[in-house]
This record gives sequence, structure tokens and C-alpha cells, in this order.
Amino acid sequence: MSVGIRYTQAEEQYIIRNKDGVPVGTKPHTHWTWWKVVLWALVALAGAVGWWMLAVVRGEYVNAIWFVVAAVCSYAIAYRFYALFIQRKIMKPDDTNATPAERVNNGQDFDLTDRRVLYGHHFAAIAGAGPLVGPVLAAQMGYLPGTIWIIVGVCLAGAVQDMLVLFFSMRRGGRSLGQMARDEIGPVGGTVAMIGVFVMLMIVLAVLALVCVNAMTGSPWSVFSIGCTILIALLMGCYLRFLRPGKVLEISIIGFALLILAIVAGSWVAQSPIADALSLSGTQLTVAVMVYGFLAAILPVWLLLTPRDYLSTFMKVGTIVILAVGIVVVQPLVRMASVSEFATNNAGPVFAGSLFPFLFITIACGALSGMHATVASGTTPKMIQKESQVRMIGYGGMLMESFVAIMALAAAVSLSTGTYFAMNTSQAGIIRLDTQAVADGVMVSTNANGELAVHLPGDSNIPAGASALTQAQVDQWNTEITAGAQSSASPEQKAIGNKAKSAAAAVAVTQLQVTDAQGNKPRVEWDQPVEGNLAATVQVWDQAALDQIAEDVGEQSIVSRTGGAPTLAVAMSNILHRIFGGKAMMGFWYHFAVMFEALFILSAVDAVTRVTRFQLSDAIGNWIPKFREPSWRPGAWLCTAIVVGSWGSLLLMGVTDPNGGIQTLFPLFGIANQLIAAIALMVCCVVVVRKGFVKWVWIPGIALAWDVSTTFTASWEKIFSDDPALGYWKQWSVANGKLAAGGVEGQALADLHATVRNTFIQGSLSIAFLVMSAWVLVTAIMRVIKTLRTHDTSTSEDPYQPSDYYAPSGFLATKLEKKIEAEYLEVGDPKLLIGHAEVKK
Amino acid sequence: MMLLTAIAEVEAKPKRSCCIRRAWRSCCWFLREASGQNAYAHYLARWELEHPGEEPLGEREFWRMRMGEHAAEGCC
Repeated sequence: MSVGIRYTQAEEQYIIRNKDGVPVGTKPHTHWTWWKVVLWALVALAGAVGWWMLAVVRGEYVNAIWFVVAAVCSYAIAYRFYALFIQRKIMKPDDTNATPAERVNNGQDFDLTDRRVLYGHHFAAIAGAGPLVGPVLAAQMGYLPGTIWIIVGVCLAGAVQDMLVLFFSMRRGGRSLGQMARDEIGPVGGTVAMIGVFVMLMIVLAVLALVCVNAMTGSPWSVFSIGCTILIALLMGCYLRFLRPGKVLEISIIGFALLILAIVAGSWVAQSPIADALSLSGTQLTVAVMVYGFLAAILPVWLLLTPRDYLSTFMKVGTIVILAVGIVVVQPLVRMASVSEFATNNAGPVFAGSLFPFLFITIACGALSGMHATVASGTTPKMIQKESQVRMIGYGGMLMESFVAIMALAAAVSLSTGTYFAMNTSQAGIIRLDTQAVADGVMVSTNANGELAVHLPGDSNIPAGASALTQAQVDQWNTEITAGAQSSASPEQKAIGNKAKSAAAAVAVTQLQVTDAQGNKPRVEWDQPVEGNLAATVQVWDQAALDQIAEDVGEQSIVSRTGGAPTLAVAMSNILHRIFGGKAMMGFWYHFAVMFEALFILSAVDAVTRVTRFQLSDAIGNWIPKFREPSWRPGAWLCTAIVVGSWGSLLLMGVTDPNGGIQTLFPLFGIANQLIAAIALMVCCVVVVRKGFVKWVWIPGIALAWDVSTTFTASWEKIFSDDPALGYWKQWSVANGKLAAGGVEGQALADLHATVRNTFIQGSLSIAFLVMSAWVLVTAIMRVIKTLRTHDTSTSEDPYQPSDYYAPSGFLATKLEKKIEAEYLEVGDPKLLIGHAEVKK
Repeated sequence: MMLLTAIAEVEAKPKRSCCIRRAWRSCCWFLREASGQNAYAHYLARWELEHPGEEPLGEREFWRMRMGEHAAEGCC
């Protein structure tokens, strides 16, 4: 055997060798030693303290560091114990069996990839804007429900789904989820699942793009810096194509430097005369995003898609590290209540609906996300080295994404409750609340700068100059805001509109039936940083606070910037400027945060557009074969136009929705995403039963049951609820009633027509989703019953093929694994060792 | 740019050295692998094994062929 490598007798008995004596794996050989027991006891203890501080201790503001402690300890325990348990009971990885990468080993898609590198690839592919947006929106219910769902959900559902789908796909040569559904459930259910996934993807894209558009509306700085990312990507593409092919790292570093420059330059642009030309309305930006999506999908990938992906990966890792450092070092205090009043009623202004089921569809990525199943089947399984690495990549990758979600949540809830709601309530919602404030007799006064202060009826020290808020004042705000939002508005009109927005919002938040961490009614409050002194802040309130925040972060207005991205950006800027750069850098950090979210979203928009375009071409190709030819331009353009038109029209609907697109569309997005998860989990359950592990079907089963109960309840409420805030069809009939009654004209009439149209589409989509998912669920259950009755455990797994390859299983190789790796370097197949870290050229 | 020359240097002369250097080298290796920069080197190694004696694609042609095929994946 090999030269120079000596195993002890104990070590040798743990090594698995194939018939040629080549090592291919190790037998499980963990021994509990006293220090391991102590270590895990300490982890459990620290986790318990973290949860205790978050969930039980009240009175003082909670320190955000406890989010990190509770999350990390829970993840460690789940990874070490639950994931291992699933591995032993269901997956039973067999390292003597070759993986698809070893079998095919073509150096292209089937490529043996170092486990740590593959972990990075997999994480970069699953993580995007989702875990940053959902938790921010769900914060209206308080921080605790979201935290529990993100951490418990990922351990019991999200990571389980990702890991099982990855494993099952790996055993089937890397087949896609849709194909596995057809193979396992049957052709009819599988086809319905594929169509369902297509329609759901359109909604997902529309809502992601809406988040992006909302973050750019009326913000010349953001429009400039995000526009620059496209130019930078083009530049990188040309560099890699013509100047220095293959020098990916150097061009990524150059691209990153240019990105930073684009953010800095954005502040100059925002103060220059061209700012006005870049201050675009939602509709203009919608058209821009659609044109971009179309071009990105038909241009060659090397020009735009690939280089932009390098950029977004760089930003992804950089941002997550920075955010973690910020939360650990600054340790912001949590200002939001642990469980707010909106957890139990439908009055929440961010989205309607109570905790069950709406929390669980709002926070998808980070806890459980169906989109991941498309990555976990198809790409990653073709690159994995050994079956025993699936736990680390599938389960571990999802834990990291969940950690991102927790940090986004921790950052968002460190904003004052009033600020949070002023940013996340739609314009229509603000005016409604103001009208209510008039009825409640709210008093207002103005300071020397003409900025409005709010005084509630019971307040003790109402200044002498205060007067009751009048409906005329509210109507004037409404007129000014509407005028300022027109594409044709002059800079003066825009400025007046922005002032009116912050005044209206400052009043509106006091009318929300909600309390903050101290049990007080929400007020907009901002600790304005003082230039040159990091420790000092000046507290400002109400309209002055909203105007000040906008000025500090370099925006024209931060009111009604729904979608979650701007909220997270303000929160991040508020945390990060205390470590990096002080007050002068607040604008930079805000636009840094907005840019990376936009970058993630645009990556998803064009990549998914491209993929679905190919699927559509294939489907049409069943009738008109010419569509299958990838080189036939008119066909490709037509299919791309159909795909862009589908999500683009939904996006336009969201942007122009009178009630604010996020409020109405986000639940649909959440339902769609979670229904894809339901389909993935159904496939997992069927596979587990067909493998003969009926006893363990509860493992994917609890995740499926929870997911189905939340998504079906949410769909049901969206279709049948009597509350117009919640039910699409109720809203539709109310608006129709108003139209029939007549007497409405002007903008209000247009709004009513828009409401009728939008709720009709949204309601129909809800029904379609529900019917399709129910169909897949029923066919899956029938399949399970049939399997149980016939004991047919025939499998669609690829037949066993002996492995001739060795690689360690976990992140860090053990001493024994290092020795085996060294032996394999000498005795192993050179073709399988291409790309190995230790192989010298 | 300093970082780039450093990466190039490490590539040029791998030698046994202290743990900081080893860590730095692993880090560079990771970045090159993760970014796909090593793809051409892998292709050459594979070509040598599978088609000994034949002429492989030049670096430029290789990248031209490779960059045409990969579409990025996006997620939530």
C-alpha cells in the first residue's frame, strides 16, 4: 500500500476501502468524551440564556446580541443532533457509492468540487434578497414571532427540505425537482406541479422587482448607483472576453472598487442638476426594469449575467460579514415590542392578516423556501464529492441563510417603532389614519422650522400654540403628495410633496393601534448623530425626525418606502456609521445597503427570466418544433417577451396599486414561494415512503403539514375572508359596489377601477395556486397510499456504482481524514484528483 | 493590486513555510477555486490525462467557449 502513511490499528478499522483497497470513506466513529459533553452543555446553556433574554426578560430594551447568541447555539445543536439523526434514519449516505460528479466527471457541470468551495457556491445560489426582506416586513408583529419562526423553522423545515432534496436529487443523477415530481408522483401531478411552479415564479419575480422599484422611486442617488452596476457588469464582461480572459478575481476586485465609487459618486449626482432627471416615478422605473430584464435575458451571458453574478456574490459575502460585525460590535437595542398588537388582528399596515398563518408566508427565505429546491436539485448535486457531505452543504448552507435573516430582523427592530411604521405604511394608509386622527382630536403645533409636532389628546404638556388637526389640512397634504408624485412634477412640487409626506406620516403613526417595547404608542423618533462625536446624539421627534432621517441618509423622503429594503438600509446605516465613518458615512451605508439588495434582486430577475424563457420555448416546442431551436432568434425573443410581460404586468399592477403594492401583493408572493416548498416536501415524503422508511416520514412530514396548513389557510383567507383588508374578493365586491353606487370621479374613480382590476387578478391567482397545490397534494397522497398498499418500493434512484474516490465529510477534516486524504493523493485516480488543493501542477 | 501580485506570487512559488503563509495560501486557493479562475488549469490537467500528446485549446479560446454556456442561477 502507500508509502509514508501509517494508521494505528484502531484507525485502520474505521476506514472503508473498495475492492481495490482504495480508501473511499470512513465508518462513523464518534466517541463522547467528557470535554465534548461539557462543550455541548455549554452551547445549550448559552442558547437557553439567549432565548431567555429574547423571550422572557422584560423591562429594559433587549440587546440585539442575544439574537446572534440564540441563533448560533440553536443552529449548532440542530446541525449536530437533528441533521445527523435525519442522516442516519433517512438518507443513510453510502460513501462506497459514487456520486454523479464522480460517475460522469466531465469537468463541466458534473465536476467534483471541494466541499468548502461547493458550500460557498450553494450558499451564494440560495441566498438573495429574500432573507433580507421578509423578516423586515414581519417585524410589524413584533420581533419574537419572527425570531422563533426563523430559527425553529429552519431547523425543522427549511434546512431539512434543502438537505433531503439535495440528497434525493444526488441519488438520481442531479435531476430537477419537476422531473423528480413526475417520476415519483406521476405524470399528471408532476405536470401540474411544473405549471404551478412557472406561474408562482412570475409572482415571485414581480414582487422582488417591486421591492427594488420602491427602493429606487424618487431617489436619484439609488437610480444612479444601481444603473452604474449594469455598466460595471458590461465592462467586466468585455474585460473577461477581450482583455484578460479568465482573470476572474482581479476583475471582481476592480468591479467591487468601481461599485464603491458608484455609491460615492451617487451623492455628488444627487446634489447636481441632473438629480432631477434621475428622480423617477414608479411607472418609469417599472418600464426600465422590464427593458433591462428583456435585454439581460437575450444578450449573451458573458456580457451581463456572468459578470454581474461575480459582483453580487462579492457583495453578498461582504455585506453579511459587515452586518454581523455591526450587530456584534454596536449591539443595538431592540425598540420594537416582542409581540405587537398586529400579531392578533388584521389591522397591520405593512400587510393584513394575523400571525397564523401570515407570519409563516411573509418570512419564507430564512425559515423555509421552496425556491431553494430548484438549486438543491439540478446544480449542486452534480458537483458533490461524497454522499456524506450532503448534511454540511444542504443543511449547513440553509443555516447560514437563516442567520442572514436573523441579522436583518435584529437590524430592523432596532429602529424606533414610529419610524418603522412611517416607512412601511402605504400612502393611502397614511391618509386614512390621518382622517382618523382628525376625528380623534389630535393636536398639532409647528416649530421654528415649520415642522409639525403631534400632541395626543391625553398629553400633559401641550404647547399654547397647538391647534386641532383639521380635515382641510389632511386634504391639503393629500393634494400636495399626489402632485409631488407625478412624473411631471417640478423640483419645488416634489419638495413640498415630501414635506407633506413626513407631516402626514408623523400624525398617522400615532393612530396605529400598537405599542412599542416600553408599552408606549408609536411616535417617530430619531437619534440624530452629531458630526464628529460618535457617542453623542440629539433626539428629534415627529416630522422633524422624518425629515432628519431623509437628510442623514441622503434621500428626498423615507416615508412610505414599502418593501423592506429601505427600512433595512436605514437600520444598517444607523448601526454601521457608528463603527465605520461616523455621520458623514450614513448616506454611503444607506445606499450601499439599497444597492446590494437591488443587485440581488436584479440577479434573480434576469436569471429566472432566462431559465423560464427556455422552459417556455421547450413547452411551445411540443406544438411548434421550431421553438426548440435555441438559435432561432424570433422564437427566443417572443418567449422572453412573454415571460417579461407576465411578471412586468404584475409589477406594474403592484406599482400603481392604490393601496400600495407590497401590502396587497406580498402575501401572494409568500403563498407562491411556500407552495413551491410544499411541492418539494411532498416529493420528499413520497420518496421516503417509497424507500420503505414509513416510520420516518414524519421528518419531512411535520414540515409539510405545517407548510400546507399555513399556506392553505392563508390562501383560503385571501379568497374567502369577509374583511376587505384581507380578502381579495371582498375587496373586489366592495369596490364594485362603490362603482355601482356612482358619485365618484377623478383620481378616486381611477383608483376604484384599479382596485377592481387588481383584486380580480390577485383573487384569481390565489384560487389557481390553491387548486394546483391541492391537486399535487392529492396525487402525492394517492401515491403514498398506493405504495403502502402494494409495498412497491421500486426506486428511481440510479443503480449502485462502486466509488473510487475519497474526500472528507465535514468542514474541517479530522486527523484520520487528513491521513486518508494524503493516502488517496498517492493511490487515487488522477482524473478524479483534478482540481484538488494539494495536487501540484 | 498588491493583493493580486501576492496571489500571483503564491501561485508561482509554493514552498513549505509557517502557518500564516499556509493559511494565506489556502485562502488564495479557495478564492481562485470559488471564483472559477482555476478552470483553465483544471482543463489543461484533464486534457493531458484524456488526450495525451494532443494540442489543448489556448487560454483565450477556452474562456470564450466556457463563458458562452454558463447562465447564473438566482434565488430568493
